[in-house]
Amino acid sequence: MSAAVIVGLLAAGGTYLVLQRGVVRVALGFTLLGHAATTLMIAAGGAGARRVPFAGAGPEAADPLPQAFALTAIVISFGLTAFLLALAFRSRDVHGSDDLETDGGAR
Amino acid sequence: MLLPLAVAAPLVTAALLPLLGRRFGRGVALPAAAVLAGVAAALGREVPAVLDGGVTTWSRPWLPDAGVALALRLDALGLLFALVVTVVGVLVMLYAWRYFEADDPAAVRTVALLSLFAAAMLGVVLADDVILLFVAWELTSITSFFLIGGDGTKGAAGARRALLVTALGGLALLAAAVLLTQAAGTTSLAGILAAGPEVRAAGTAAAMVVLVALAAGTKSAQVPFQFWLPGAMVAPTPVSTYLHAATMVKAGVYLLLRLAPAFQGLPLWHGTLVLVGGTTAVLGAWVAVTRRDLKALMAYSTVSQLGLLVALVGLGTPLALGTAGLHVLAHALFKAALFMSVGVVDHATGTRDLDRLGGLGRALPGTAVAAALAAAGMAGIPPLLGFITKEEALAAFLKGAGTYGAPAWTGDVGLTLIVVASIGTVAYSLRFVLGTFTGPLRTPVHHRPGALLEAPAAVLAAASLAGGLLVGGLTPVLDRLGADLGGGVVGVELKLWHGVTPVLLTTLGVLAAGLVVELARGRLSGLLRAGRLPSGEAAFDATYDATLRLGGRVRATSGSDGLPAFLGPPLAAAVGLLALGAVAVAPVGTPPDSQAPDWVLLLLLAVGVLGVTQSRSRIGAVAGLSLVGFLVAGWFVLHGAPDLALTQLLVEALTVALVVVVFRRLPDTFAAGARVRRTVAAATAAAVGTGLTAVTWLAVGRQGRSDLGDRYLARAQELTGGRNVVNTILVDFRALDTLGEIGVLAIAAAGIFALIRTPAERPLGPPRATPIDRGGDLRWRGTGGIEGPILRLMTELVAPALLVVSAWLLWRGHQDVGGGFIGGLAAGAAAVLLYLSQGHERLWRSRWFRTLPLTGAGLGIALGHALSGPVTGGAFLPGGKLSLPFGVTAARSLVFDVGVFVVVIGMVIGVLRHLGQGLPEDEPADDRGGPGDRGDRGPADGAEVGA
Repeated sequence: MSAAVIVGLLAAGGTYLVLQRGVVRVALGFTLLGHAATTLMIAAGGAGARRVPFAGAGPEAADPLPQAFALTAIVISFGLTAFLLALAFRSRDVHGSDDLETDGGAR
Repeated sequence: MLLPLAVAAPLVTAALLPLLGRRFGRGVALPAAAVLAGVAAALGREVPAVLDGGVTTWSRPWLPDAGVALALRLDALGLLFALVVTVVGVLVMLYAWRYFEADDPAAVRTVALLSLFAAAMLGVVLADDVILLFVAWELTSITSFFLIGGDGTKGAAGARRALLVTALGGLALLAAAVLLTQAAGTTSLAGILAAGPEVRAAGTAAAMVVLVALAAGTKSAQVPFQFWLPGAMVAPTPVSTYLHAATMVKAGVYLLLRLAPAFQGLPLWHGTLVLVGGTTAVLGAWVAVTRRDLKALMAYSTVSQLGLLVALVGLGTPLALGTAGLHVLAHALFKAALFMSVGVVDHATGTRDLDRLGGLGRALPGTAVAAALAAAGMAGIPPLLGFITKEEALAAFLKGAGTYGAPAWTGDVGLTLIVVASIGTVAYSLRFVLGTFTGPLRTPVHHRPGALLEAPAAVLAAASLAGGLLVGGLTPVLDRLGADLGGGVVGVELKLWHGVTPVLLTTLGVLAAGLVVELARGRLSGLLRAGRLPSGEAAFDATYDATLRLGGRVRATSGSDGLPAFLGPPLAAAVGLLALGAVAVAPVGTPPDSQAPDWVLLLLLAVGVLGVTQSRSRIGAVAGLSLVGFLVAGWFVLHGAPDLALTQLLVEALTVALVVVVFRRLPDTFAAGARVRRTVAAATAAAVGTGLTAVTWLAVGRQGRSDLGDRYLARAQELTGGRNVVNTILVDFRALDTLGEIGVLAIAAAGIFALIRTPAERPLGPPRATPIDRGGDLRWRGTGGIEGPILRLMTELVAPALLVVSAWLLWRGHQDVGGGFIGGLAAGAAAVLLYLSQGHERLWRSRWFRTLPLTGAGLGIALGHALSGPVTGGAFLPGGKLSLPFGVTAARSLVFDVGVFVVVIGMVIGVLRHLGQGLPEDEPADDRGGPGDRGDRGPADGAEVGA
């Protein structure tokens, strides 16, 4: 139950932020959505077995497959965050603000 | 091996030419010509065997499950076309060598693309598999697009029309290929032709005929698609000569000839082709009569001749099909010579306008003779090859369909249309020669062409003449084509003089009528102009523009350029799906249990999420974000995922550093959104969160470990030697995924690099020399350095230690918590420390901390490991052991993990280098104003913002 609530909470926070103006808040929102996705993946492995999945860990070992997916997902979302922040950085340089809806270039 | 080499040689040449281009410029046309000459010679040696009915095949499996093969086949029809492609190709390359100026940058590009095109065209005419044929066919369209479009400055519209029209035909060809494959049960062309009765009996036979006609009609510029060909004439003359006169536009005719045996006897096939081809022939010829631009005249002439060819295929008798094959040859010779001559005239005088040309015979005697010979062939004047093929075409229509399956009317209707077209052909041929080379000199020659530029046209015209004089030698070709394609005996001896026959009388009548039309042109011109048809080009453009407008209207419904407007519909759909899932999913299995620490963590997490979302100060938001990140890491620990927890902690540290670094260039507080927006966002967020919670609870994690996870746990150590199953999945079992993922990281780093380094109105320069101490200022304005003994000491001790730790994490990853991702992030943390204590300049000046070399090297290491398998006879991304010095052994996949490690470091370095350069001296950190507040940027900036 707690895993489901955590996933929902992180997704709600992320959704709220990506609907705001300003690339930085959107980037923060994507970070939260990334957390939601990784926790969801781990939850999919089942929260019952919680031993570290090393060889020979026995029946209590957690599922290693979602962990492997989540690990790369974390690093990739860091890359995405960095890219979004680079956009914010550049947007301020070119347009004077990181606001998505008043930037002059898009219209 | 002859066949694959024939296709591969120009293909490889095309790839190599750009490398030679820097050094040799337009001279690369010579090796390109040499390669095509070699292919032509090798193919030429097959002529006797093929004329005896011999067939060469070559095949390799391609998509064996679908029965698709890389199959090539050389028979008489394929050889005829292949020789036209290669021999004309040699002359076009030689022509291009002299056509371009020595320093013209377009030369290398054009020659390389022409070589690529030759490979594609050889693929079309040698393919023995309909799917392979389709691929090669599309490749000719694409190379044509790039050749017409040039560098995109003036040919764009024509190139786009040509591409879209021929791509439409390409889709029709693909659909036809699918239907043919279904009917015949094989994708082999030879198999499809052998299954002719099944094809004709299939319920989809009519659809096949229409689709094949559509494919051929678009490629070969038949009515109503004829307009793209004249529009393609913006291309340089070598391109027009090769693609749009001699070869590519004949691909449609080739397709019809190739498939003629399969459709023989279907009235729809014969009727459609005779009507479309005949109409095209008439229309093209009579439009050509009215053109003043020589290239447009030649383009419409080509349209007309292609119509004649299509009509001949439609008639479908052995004589008609064999003659169509020979006329392809004759037309390639005379039309290529004519285009080259027009190019010489254009080159020499700077104009192609008949109203401004005249009297060039004296100044350009060589070209005048070549052009006159070629035009005589086009008009069907003896003793040129064009005379003979035109005569045999008339003979075929006079004889009629006979017993070969075409409706009886096709002979008479075809004859009428072809005679009308031929009268126009004679008229415009006369007009071209007389108007350009005789009469008073209007535009003088100011740019004398070299003999080498004039030579290729002369060679082609001479071949046209020789083909007529020695035409008896072509009789076996006619016989073989007639037998292969028409399934019967042609029974005609090719010669110049058959005696006074109805055919000869028709030819004489056509010549006389053409002469009359040319003499009376002044009086006829009003009539000709009045008869103009609606322009296909305008219809095409109207459709094209309307499609774009429709797209614009669809886009406009989103109403705004803002992110919420775009995210709204997908989010609403997601919520709907979640609700549907929550209702529809019947829970199975037992829900996973929660433990007390889980709930504590959940409460803290709620605080963190509230902090991130509600904070109006950036520092507050970052604090909330890092709280969330550390709590998620803790959650991973609780769930038996220490690798994830470590990754998350390191990423969190880097994210905070990154956000703080970027925040220095951004305002300190967030703009307050409107109340409506906040309410809508909160409502959406609540809906998404509730839905996701419900579905997660109902559907996720109730069945324990996955089967795959079980298998990895049980066998990882035995199969890979690694104890850390998560790491073995990353670097062994699913290493291909990881390879893709580090590719994404490298692309993100390159994207950041490009975003920041692209010059804007004020490029970001290298950092200033001195780091600025603004001790106590949390915003760390300046170039990044924070002066302070403690931090400096920390860095000097901790950064090297972190590097050692990161190497250790990398090394132990296969056995224990760690690995390339985690090690790379730890090393990245060391770089962040270095950056904070010593400033951006330290990173900037370093030879080692460079974004693209680092990420590139990492990807290279990972790819090298992947490819080392196939090279040593193993699998892609191999496993196994690696022997290191001092008796140490490691898993071979450690090399791959090193690649991951380096890519991750490269990305972190990239972020610091490009985002971390701090504020320029002249700019306050909390500048919140719009462009008006920044007068120091000058007027150019304002213009940019308003653009």
